[in-house]
Amino acid sequence: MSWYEKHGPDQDVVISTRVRLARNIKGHLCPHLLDKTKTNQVIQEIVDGVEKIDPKSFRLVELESLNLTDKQTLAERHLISPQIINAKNNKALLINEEEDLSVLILDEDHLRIQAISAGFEPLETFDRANKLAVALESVLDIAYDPEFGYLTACPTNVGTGLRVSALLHVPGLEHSRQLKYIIESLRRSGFTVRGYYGEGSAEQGQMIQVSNQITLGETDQDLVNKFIRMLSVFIKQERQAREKWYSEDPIRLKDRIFRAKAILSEACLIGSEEAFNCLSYLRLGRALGFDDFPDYPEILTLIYLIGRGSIQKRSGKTLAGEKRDEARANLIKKHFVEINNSRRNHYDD
Amino acid sequence: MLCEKCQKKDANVSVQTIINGITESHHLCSECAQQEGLFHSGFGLENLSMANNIGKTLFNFPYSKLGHAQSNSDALTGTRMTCPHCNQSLSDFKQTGLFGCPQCYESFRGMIREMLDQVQGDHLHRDSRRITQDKSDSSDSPIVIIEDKQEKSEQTAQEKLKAELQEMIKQENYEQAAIIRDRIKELEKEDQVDESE
Ligand SMILES: [Zn+2]
Ligand SMILES: [Zn+2]
Repeated sequence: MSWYEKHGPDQDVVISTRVRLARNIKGHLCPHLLDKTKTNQVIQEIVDGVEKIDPKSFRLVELESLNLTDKQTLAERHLISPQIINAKNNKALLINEEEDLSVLILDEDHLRIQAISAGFEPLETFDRANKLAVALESVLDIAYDPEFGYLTACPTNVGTGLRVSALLHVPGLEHSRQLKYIIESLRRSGFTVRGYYGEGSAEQGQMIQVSNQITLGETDQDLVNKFIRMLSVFIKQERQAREKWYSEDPIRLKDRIFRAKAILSEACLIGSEEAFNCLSYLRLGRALGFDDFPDYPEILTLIYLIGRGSIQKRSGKTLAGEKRDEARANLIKKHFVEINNSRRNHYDD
Repeated sequence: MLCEKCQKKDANVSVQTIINGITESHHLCSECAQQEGLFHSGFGLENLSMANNIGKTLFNFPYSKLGHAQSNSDALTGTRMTCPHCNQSLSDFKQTGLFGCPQCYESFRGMIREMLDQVQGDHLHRDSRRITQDKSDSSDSPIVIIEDKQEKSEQTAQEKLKAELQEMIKQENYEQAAIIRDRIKELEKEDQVDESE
């Protein structure tokens, strides 16, 4: 079962929590300077290292061997960054079956150990990534300096190499126009706030990503704890904003939510932006406890399925604009039917 | 020893540079050192969130002046400090925002310290696992060493601790340095509380 099919704590507001640990190997050039031969050599070295400590869990995906659609799909699931889709040099991904633990090889750094969980789960997610990182130090000559810590290609990651981030669903704060002030205060407190698809992307479907900015000067555990403290306040504020919205203007809010549900279950053509926004309202409806709304894992599964890459991957061919919107609408409809059927079967039991 | 630049005051700052493998030592007075920008890096903190801006802000770093170039000559021309492991210079770094290899941190240690203080607000890593480990694997000597031998008469407790912290780092006694740094942070916190009351 993939991680996104599972439930997680505080999932009404937090969609997922990710932890990334950047590491490099001593004696090799940073990835952007490696030539073709060296690139494949370093990939092999890391793959062998991971195999030594865990020969069973991971499968290897070499980005060079993938087509554009496959790479887009990986980016839509936050397994690779969108920036490396068109990279010249080969890169690789070691990924486990649940897709919740992976090693991205030769992105900006030699290794990026990535763990992800549903809901708000920073400690557990950090532990999983950290265990793998610690184990890898016994088989790879990881570059570590007693003064600067783990050495990374970019000085913004040096020290712990830790980036902990959460994907938050914030329709309440956006509606109450508090969002931009909260984002400002998060930024002042040393957090980075970005759109759904990362650096430079727009805030899509009322979803934002928050992560720590500083990676050095505090221990990894202190950084994670600080992140938890900060985000816990944020989560409460979002819940309050939703309650206020629903108590002050229930009919118009319900209207938006049920319209969104109707579009998703009936539309014949739907673009990714509209689908995203409708799914956002569907999620809000679920959080407000409306009957017969899909559950969080079902909604997240849909979010992952409707991306450009995922849609085309499923249909097995490249689709242009309207064909893609048609495939997307059909896919969502089909899922709604499946969700309702499984409910009915469940009640029959 | 007299300052190399003004030839008037006593030199109390020594700068060591390695350019194309040739090591040179320079001795300046603190005023001239300041004029040369050795203490004022001019990093902007405005654009922290974009990694590449750090490369751009690094452009303002007066590393060209660490060489023997005339102070009014064009920045970067004639001086090319490179990391012996990857052969990349700091001007390569300023273009990509990425170091050429992990050992660049050793090669440019002095400047990286100053840069990290600006970018990360600190340059001393605290490791939850290794904080008590010995320092046997500490690195080679840095390429740029800037020493301020000036004694300041009126130092606050914080300044004293900060000087001590630098000394500990120089001696590569990171365990002690971490303790001192925590103490400084506590003092700073106390100051903030005092002010707000
Ligand atoms: Zn002088
Ligand atoms: Zn280097």
